[in-house]
Amino acid sequence: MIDELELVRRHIDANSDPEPDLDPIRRRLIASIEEEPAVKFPDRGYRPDGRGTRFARRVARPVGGLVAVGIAIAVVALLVVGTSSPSHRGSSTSAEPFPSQLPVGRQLQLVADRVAHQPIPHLRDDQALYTRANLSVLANVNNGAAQATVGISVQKWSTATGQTCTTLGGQPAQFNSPSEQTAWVALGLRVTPVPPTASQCLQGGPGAVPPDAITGAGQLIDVSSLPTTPTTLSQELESGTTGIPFLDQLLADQAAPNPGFQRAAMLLIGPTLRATPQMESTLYQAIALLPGVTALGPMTAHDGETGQGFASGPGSGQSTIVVDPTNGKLLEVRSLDDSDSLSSIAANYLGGGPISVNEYSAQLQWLDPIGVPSVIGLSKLPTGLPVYVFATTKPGLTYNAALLPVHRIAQPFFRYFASISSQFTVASDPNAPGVFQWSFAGPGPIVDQFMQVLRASGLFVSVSKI
Amino acid sequence: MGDVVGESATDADLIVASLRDPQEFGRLFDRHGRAVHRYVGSRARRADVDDVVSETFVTAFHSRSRYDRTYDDARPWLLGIATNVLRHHFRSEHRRLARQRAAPLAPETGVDISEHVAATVDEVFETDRIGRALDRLDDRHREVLLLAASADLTYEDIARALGIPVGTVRSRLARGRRRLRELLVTGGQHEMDANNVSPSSEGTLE
Repeated sequence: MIDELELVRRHIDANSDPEPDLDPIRRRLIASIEEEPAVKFPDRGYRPDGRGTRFARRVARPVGGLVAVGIAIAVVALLVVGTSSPSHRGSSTSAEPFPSQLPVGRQLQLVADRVAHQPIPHLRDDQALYTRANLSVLANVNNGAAQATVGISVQKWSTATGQTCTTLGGQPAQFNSPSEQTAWVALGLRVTPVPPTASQCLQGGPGAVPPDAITGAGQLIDVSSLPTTPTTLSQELESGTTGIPFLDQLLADQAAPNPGFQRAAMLLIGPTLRATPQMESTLYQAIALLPGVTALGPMTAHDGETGQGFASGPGSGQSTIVVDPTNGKLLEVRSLDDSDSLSSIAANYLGGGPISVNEYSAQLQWLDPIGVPSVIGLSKLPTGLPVYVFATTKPGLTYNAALLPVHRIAQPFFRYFASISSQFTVASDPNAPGVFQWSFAGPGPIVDQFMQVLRASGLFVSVSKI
Repeated sequence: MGDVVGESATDADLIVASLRDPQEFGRLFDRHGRAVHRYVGSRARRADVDDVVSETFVTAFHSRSRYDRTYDDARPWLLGIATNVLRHHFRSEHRRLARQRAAPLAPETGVDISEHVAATVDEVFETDRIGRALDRLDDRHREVLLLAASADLTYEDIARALGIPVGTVRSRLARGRRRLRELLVTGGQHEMDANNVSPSSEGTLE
């Protein structure tokens, strides 16, 4: 018996051309496409957020920090991230050559004018912003006893409510000479990280970890409080008084040249929260007002994209941004001193034997955002991502006070955890509420059951998962 | 280095890429041009099909920045735009169906009719009969039926295409099928005109 839909299908089949000539239609479409200015829309949903690297200029970090990172990594489940997501990157087309002969201020004003017309999608609470970047870090160990260049890929999922998951993929260390490699290995370091990825998820809300580093898992930067006039923004970037703590603290203890430019670069790296086209346009105008900013003309990023380069000052070794002048998209940042660049992947380069690392520093050589930040539903997060459960204790119940009862509650679920539970407090204040985190291998009834138990305990003011 | 979005890219990826490189939108046409053409062909006069399809994609191109990137498959979005274009394109779809009845399957492009009706005379009869029955359906029910039949869209996809709740899709599809069946049985002799159905009788079946 044939149903009505099948009859309608037959009717359509009988009345439609099985092999329609679509070329004329396609030509009309292409003609319409070509009428549009080269790049009319932005390719980025959300953008700049200054990832809060602490920007110390080659600040020596005690190895204790490295070990602590290693321990932290050991208790965090690895995110198995699919690589099927294709690049969103389109070609950098331009209807006409960018007038790079103009003064730097005029050039940046042109970019600002175009940015002002780029719409920015809204990130709802049930959505996450997915961003990717490749970066190259120069790692210096024991005051120059060994150094290597490390390539890192970063994937980040961030929600408007502050939850963030970050996955870092570490490439084999590169050396300028065999002797450098020998020195590296002699300190007990691996050439290839084991395991090759490191992941971290953090919760938002009260007590959330603020933006920390490009490679860190800090939350999105809320830029809604930035001044709306270029002059004021420029001054606040330069003096470190934007009111965004992580941004203001960058380089605060350093005699870095043109810190305003580096703070602006961090904002461009993104992603941010509550950015507007006007704010981003203002940012470019503010950069133009920073002292010493220099136009470098056409430049090619490490991934091959071409744009216009701007540096923090004349001469070599300056911090540099390469932007697509047609829409203001950041194509590359170069030469930022980011002691946190290696972040949680650093521990994966530690060898299994004796380690002689006393301190290390890291310098971000370049960073290329990959593709277009995309807004995805939380229900569409990649399969294989572990489920993280977060719980924040009620006011007055400190981390230390809650530790034992929380441990008792969680103990029956230990065998379901993807790793030993990672429990931590994010506040230096010992009286601050405790924030607890557990990771599961994947979604399932046990996760919901665990959350119910947590809520029923009466210890927590919030219990959530990502 | 390549800026090309790979073959495995979703439609959403292509649309996003086209925001930077408008030419990428052509690939979306390559993927779905035929499906949209088929759907439009089920509703528009043959001479109008190309225009409607073209207008659909041009409209989609200019509104692509508003595309909801959470949906990988852009087909429902395109078919929804096509539906809107059709609504504006014709004052009444009945005109086209009436024309088809007057000259059933007569190709306006010079194509030999035998190519289309090579099967049997019965098939011609049948399809013409269905055409007349579709003609008598309410626009809302016809749209849902044709989207389901021509493009094999799911309830959710149809809901997305038409901007209506899934429950409404279910009820429209169920009512449309029932009326179509009745019309095919009665040959339209009984005035089972779907247009008599008041909107209030159309419930959502979430």
